[in-house]
Amino acid sequence: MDPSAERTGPEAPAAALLRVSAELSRLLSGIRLTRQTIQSYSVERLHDTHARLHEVSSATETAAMQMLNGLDRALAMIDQLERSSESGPPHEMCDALRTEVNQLYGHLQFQDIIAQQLKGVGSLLIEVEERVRSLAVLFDDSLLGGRDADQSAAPQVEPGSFNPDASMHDRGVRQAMADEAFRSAHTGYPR
Amino acid sequence: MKCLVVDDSATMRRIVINALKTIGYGDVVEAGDGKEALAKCDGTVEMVITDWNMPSMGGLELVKALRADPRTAKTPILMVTTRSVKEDILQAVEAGVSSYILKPFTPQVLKEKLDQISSLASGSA
Repeated sequence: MDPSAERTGPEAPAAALLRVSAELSRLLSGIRLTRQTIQSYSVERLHDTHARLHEVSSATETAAMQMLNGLDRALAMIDQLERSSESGPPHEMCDALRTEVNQLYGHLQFQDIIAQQLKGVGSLLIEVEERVRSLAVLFDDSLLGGRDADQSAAPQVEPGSFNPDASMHDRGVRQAMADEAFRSAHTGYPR
Repeated sequence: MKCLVVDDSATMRRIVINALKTIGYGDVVEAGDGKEALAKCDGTVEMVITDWNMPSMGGLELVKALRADPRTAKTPILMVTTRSVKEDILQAVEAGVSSYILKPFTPQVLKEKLDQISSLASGSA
């Protein structure tokens, strides 16, 4: 369009409106592209990551249970060896074996602690996903309809069912501090 | 002594039960959350060992419910949890726990706490 024509005559406002409309269309296209990018590269990936964390937690629980089953079998074998004929291992060795197996049993507590840490991360991902989804809805409120379907497929993390600060570290130090706190707060049994 | 082990993690329940067995506590029942635990407190349970963070009904709620029921008000309760901040421990004491162990624990620490509880119970009997 001839720029000089836009400044004169009744066609000028119409031309200006057409240009504004074209600019707005370009702007809307850009916003839709941004919304699609947020939806597909952020919300869906967050959702997928959360599902994978849940999968990891389930896998470690399954593995831990299988190890416990193996340790139970080992304990039964030790009992059997001890009851066997005089040619079996000495009592002291059986006790030492039992102690080792029971210590391995205790080490598997890592699974519960890791599961709680993973739930903490999963809960954080859900929060981030919600915030990003809210941002995407600002660009396209039709996304509101898709929310429930997506959320129903994701494993939800019940608040209070985990401690995100669960830790394997400094067990002795933390127990000592807990004992001190308990002593200072507790005045007798039963309350 | 009949013990009730409460934890939403099946792995942890097995670990606690095994630890109890190694220190001489062989009579054990288990529950997956506070609600199930309350249902199993039928008057024969003499000690409750509970986790804190559980779905549906957590350990703290369970402790409060047990203390509010005359039938279980004096049942010894041991909290076995990952929660180590002072405020949590104070909350647990206020709710009425008898002792407190942090995960991961050893059977030796478990025995020490159970012995303390038993000793206190004998002293107050």
